[in-house]
Amino acid sequence: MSNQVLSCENVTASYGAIQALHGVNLEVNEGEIVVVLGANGAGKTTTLRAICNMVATDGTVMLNGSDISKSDTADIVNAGVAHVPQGRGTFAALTVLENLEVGAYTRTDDEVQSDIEMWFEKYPVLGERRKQAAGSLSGGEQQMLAVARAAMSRPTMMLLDEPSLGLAPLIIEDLFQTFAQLNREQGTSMLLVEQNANLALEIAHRGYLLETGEITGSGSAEELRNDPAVQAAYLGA
Amino acid sequence: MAIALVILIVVAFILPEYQVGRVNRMWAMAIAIMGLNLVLGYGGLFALGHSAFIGLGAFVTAWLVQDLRFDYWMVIPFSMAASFAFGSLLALPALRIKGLYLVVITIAVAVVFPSLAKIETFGIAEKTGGANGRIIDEKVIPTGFGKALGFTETEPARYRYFLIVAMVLVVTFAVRNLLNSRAGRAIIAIRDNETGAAVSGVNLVRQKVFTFGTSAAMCGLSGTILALDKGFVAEQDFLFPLAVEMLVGLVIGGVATLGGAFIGAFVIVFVKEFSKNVNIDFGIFVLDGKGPFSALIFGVILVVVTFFLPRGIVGSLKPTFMQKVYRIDPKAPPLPENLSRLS
Amino acid sequence: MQLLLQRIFDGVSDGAVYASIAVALVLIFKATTLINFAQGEMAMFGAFFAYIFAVQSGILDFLSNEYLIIWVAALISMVLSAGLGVTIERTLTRPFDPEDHLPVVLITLGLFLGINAIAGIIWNYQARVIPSMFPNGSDDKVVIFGARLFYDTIGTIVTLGAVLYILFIILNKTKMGLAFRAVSANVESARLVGVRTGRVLSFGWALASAFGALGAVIVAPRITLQPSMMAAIVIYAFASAAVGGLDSVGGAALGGLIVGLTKSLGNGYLGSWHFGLEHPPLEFLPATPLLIPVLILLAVLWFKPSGLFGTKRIERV
Repeated sequence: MSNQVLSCENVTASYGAIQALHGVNLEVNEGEIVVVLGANGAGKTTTLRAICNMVATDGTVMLNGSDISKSDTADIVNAGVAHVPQGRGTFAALTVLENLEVGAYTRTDDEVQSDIEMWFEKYPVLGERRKQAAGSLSGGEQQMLAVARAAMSRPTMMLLDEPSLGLAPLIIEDLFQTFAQLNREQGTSMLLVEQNANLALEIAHRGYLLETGEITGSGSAEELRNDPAVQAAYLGA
Repeated sequence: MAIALVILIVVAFILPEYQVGRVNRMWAMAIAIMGLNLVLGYGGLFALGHSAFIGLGAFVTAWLVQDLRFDYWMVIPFSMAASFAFGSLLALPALRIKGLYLVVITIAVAVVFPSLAKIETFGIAEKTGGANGRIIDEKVIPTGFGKALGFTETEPARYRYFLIVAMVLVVTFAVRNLLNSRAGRAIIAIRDNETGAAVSGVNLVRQKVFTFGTSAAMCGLSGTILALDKGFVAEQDFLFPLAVEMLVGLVIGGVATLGGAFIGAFVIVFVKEFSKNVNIDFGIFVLDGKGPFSALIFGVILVVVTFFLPRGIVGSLKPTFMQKVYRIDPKAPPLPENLSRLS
Repeated sequence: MQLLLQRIFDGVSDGAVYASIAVALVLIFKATTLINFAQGEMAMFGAFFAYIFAVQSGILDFLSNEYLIIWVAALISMVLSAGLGVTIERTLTRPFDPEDHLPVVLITLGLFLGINAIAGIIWNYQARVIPSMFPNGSDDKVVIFGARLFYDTIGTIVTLGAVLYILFIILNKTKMGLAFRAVSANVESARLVGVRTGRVLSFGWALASAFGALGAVIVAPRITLQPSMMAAIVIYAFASAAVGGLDSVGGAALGGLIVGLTKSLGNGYLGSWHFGLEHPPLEFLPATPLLIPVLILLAVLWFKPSGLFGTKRIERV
């Protein structure tokens, strides 16, 4: 029995008068990559935002056994959650180096610099541009930066919102390899939200299907990959 | 509505002459606030410098009446046209400027305006009265028709009162019709969703300039009324704090409501009157009727209204979805654009 | 040559003060994307804080050295102003959604009226004497090529420059500074890396208020201490911030100098130039002091709204 890192019980969320989530139930266990598949408007981004309490929500969200449903976003992040938002959320006006430094904001140890160097080694492009404004990077580079930034906090739980959006296929592959690697080597659990499911299902352990604010299906990655309905809707079969 | 009209008429007769003067000022400010409402409340453009337009109207009036010996009726279209022109001209650079920059630049214009009136070159100071102001000796007194209605020359303020109220009614109707017309809908559409308005065929630039110009023209009319009612113009009457007072009136009355302007005008004119009579000694300092006290009240009103009564008095009495409500919940992102707001 | 130098010195001297308020405006803009219209009045109140300690109450008289008194008073004032700024931020502006500008505009305008009124009520509108932070007698100067460079001017520039430098260090070399710049760059992402944005906002307001108060204490002896002292300066400060770029602290400082110089040289030269006519047509210029910053504002907002150093994204609808 592995430990449950994250769970959502009956989570609802609204934007003003409009209810976007109607009771989402999901869980992520330690060391798992869980993918949430859904079309545009299904509520995928809202789900991640609800977990971080960035939107008006109800229901229960548990992180490592503690109830974070009403916690402040900053507290949730301090508890070990890293969220890579849709569109990357790069600090455009800050340099690449500063983006990584601020990613480590919650850390108080002295290995921050060595972590930064490690990421520069892994992605030399970032290292070359370390003093450049992050906003001047290409989409793919910014995505790498965003992932590195999120990883800098050495999170136990990573939330990834459509990281493949707008990127070239080769870069997407590289990106997903990084996710898999982080998961393998650091044991980081991940909740990955995606529209484009192919690669996601390849690295994931389990998955959920999200339709108009509700979870309509779940299973292991293998099961989902072989399900004809899923294939038709998300795998472009 | 009818009750209001009755009250209006009664008031004119029961008040002593000098009080009527104050009420006249209230009507003038109501028109001005309506003008501000047009641009800020309905148009959604953050402009705050309308004291300059009132002043412009007043100075044009003084010049036309005193130097060119115009009849006081004739001045109205000219002062409104001048203000419209000035407002439209200001609107052109203003359109390049969004949100807060617009506030800044309109404030700056309002602040600099009084000193512009004092410029000696080009004979400007002569026309405006410079630092000392000038008297308008063309009195608005009842003539044939007016006398037939029962007004006498010894109580000109009452006569003016009726003329002003008539003007106010005309303006109010005009504004209401404007808002219900195609142009009016375009103005509101621009406020709520600029891109949507543009793709619906609204010429953004033309519409915004028109809105600005119209609101300036209304302030110009207000200035004319003030000048003729008081019989005196001076640059000190059109300083920037006047623009802030207009804003206070607008906000407490109700942004984007038609009746709000009247409540707002009432508040700002009579709070000032009331505060002149206050004289409390707190020991360390004295709270008396000079400037600061009314300014303090207005400041407090602005803050309190923003917190507790964002739709103003009139706005709070109307159904919710008719008004633009402040989003106080920081977690709610803006409503999706496909939700159009009807007004 | 002498006249030119004189005008340059005067321009720089004024410009440094404009820069201090402009920097305050920019700090708050960076943190919140809002303009604090009450900045000038808050600074003025800060100068009065200093007045209370240096003159009115006599608390610091035991220090005997007059310069020590005013400098200590200035420091106390900076701390108190910072406190005032934090209080205002937490109670009056934080509850509102920063995307919607109207409420906070109304609140800062309300503060503009209210703070000025309170100062007027407590101290009424007489001009008061407050000691200068630098020797400012008519002999306290250096004469360069015939132009008078007062110690007051030198002191102003050196002091404000030093504090600006400290500000730079805080913003660029400390963790809080990094958090501040992160919030300025992308407030949502800042939350997502664990920055407590509330604290950052308070921090920004505190810095801004302190810096503004210092500027006011420095300029007060020149223009006499009274509730209306900052009204005109604020317009110059807006122009300076616009020139530099609303989200650039360094830009605001430079903008202040540019506006100060433009005013000094403009009033001096354009105001007295004959343009080939009998009478200088622009001689009203020095008597209409605010015209120049207003024209600068219009020009900047028309041609280059993001200023010299600001980021283009400022053009939000």
